[in-house]
Amino acid sequence: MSEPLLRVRHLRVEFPAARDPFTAQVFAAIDDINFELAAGETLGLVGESGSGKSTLARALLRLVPAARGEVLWRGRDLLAMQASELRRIRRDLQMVFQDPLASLDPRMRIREILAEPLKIFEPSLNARELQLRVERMLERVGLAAGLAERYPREFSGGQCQRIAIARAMMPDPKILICDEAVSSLDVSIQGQIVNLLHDLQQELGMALLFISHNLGVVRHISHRVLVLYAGSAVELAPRDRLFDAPAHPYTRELLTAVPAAHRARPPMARAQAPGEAARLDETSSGCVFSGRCVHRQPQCLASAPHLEQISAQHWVACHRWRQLASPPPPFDG
Amino acid sequence: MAPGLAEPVLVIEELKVEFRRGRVATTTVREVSLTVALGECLGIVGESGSGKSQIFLAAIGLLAANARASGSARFIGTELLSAPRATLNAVRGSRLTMVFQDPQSALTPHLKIGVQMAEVLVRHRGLSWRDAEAAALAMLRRVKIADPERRLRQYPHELSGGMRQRVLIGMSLLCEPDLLIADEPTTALDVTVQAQVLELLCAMRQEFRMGVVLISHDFAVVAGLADRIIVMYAGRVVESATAAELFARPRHPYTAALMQCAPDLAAAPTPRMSTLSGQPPDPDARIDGCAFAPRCSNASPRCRIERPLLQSIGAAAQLACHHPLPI
Repeated sequence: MSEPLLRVRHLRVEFPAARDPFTAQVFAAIDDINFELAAGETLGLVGESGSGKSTLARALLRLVPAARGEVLWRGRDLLAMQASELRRIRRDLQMVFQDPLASLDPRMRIREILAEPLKIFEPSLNARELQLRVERMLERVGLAAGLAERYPREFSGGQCQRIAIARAMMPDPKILICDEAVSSLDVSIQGQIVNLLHDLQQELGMALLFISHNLGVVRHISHRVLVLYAGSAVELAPRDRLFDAPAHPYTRELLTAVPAAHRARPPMARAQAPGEAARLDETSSGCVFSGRCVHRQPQCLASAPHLEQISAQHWVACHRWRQLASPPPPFDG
Repeated sequence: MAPGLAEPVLVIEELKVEFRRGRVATTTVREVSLTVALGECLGIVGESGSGKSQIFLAAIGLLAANARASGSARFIGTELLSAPRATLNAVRGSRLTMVFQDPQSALTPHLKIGVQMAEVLVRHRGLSWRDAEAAALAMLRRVKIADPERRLRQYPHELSGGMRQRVLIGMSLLCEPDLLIADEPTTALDVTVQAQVLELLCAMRQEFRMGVVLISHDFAVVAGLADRIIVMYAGRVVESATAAELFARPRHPYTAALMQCAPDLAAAPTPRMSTLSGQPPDPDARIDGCAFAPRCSNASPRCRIERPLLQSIGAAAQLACHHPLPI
């Protein structure tokens, strides 16, 4: 793989833990996150609510402060940059949010919404060039150029998300971060947006960080997938490897929880994993997933497993991955 | 209703829901008829704006102020559409209950869980507060909430989304209802929590032997629970069948296309996802033919001028399509 665009090292974000503002207690929303993103690549980021997916995305753009770590953009640390320099680089790092209507200013016309990033990043453009660029982008995301004079409320959720993507793509970013960008849409519309992102990537070559709790969607669009649990990376693997041979018990639990639409069936018998995502507790020294894991052993409570490379490009943080490795699938045919 | 099936708890006939804005009327539900039997789970599937929620909001009298419902909705013999508020209030929340998508806004933020739950029994069953709280505690145990004594004394914001939805399901079961309507109950939840909530609904339905209506935009959510499924498009029923039949042999092109949209983890991944092109029609638009025709790959000129009527195809299935998929 070529030199990565983005290299994240030991990233940690803390929030105050206690209600009492005078205590210095903090909890880590994410801790020791490491990954790379290459040009033109899609990295899927999955995990439950509270796992730190959005915090991670925000920390990359410095929308929340990081407590530790580096975010290297073409070798330079975004976290250590002057604000003025960061602003210039932000055009290369754009974001699309979950709620398409809430992320568009209701009092601006679509034309103004799409032109705004260009006015900031390319102030030399004249009105005619601006209009041309806006119309070209609208058509590229599958909307008629004639819609530019309308307001966001005149569009459906799926169309608003197309507009939000168009806005993010206006300054020609190198990385597009999609934070649950299809989660609030109908199943029938989700595919349209995923295909649009895929086509834009083929055409323009930007890298995608695709955050979603929807594993089915992540599987379609991602080259590699990073699984977060309670702020920690528990597994990182190429797409097919993760879905065909997940090594972490949490990844397996996520996969078995996905309901299937293609047949009526009784609810699947599942490994019991009661409870919900734990917060990363600073006082516990064990594995973050140990509270919910059915394969827990004393060693899992005693020490936290580190990400360990188990095959080319496949990393897992589990003391017991060897014992739990699924047997090879039976010979078929 | 075919003979031999359990008696229906809810019978909706020729239901129509209209919204008025000034002089403009928008129809969101058109001529919908359906029944739900005791012990049965009916799945309602459709995209946003298909009218799937409006049917049941109309039935329990929770439509917006500018909406009007006509037709009939009978709950165990009682007509609900023309019922006075007192009748509705006696039924709603006790024998006919509803669980909504957003568990946060369905709970009162400044009342403790125990008070909110006990209130249901004090109001509908005339229990003392002490007895009602004891019953609430027992219900929290039945819906498998960890540490129920502590939860009773907590406020909604102290609970996670999944736990709040469990509380709401528990609350809706306190008076042992005959019918529970769950409108996108898991859409706001994580996939693992969604699986737990669906399992809970499944278990509770057997335990209470009540009818359940499960409304969702996602076939995958209703697949594990529903006995029968009704597919809605642009305010109308376009297909209904037993769940097994519908998944094995969808006949309406819309049903088949919507099923394909949900990614299947068992199939090999493709770079492009299956989609439905275009979007549902504008509710204000006048539609002469089949509302799905502009998005349908099977559509013929006939589909654009003549609306296909909903017709019975076999004992328990209905279909509204000029060019159904072959069996």
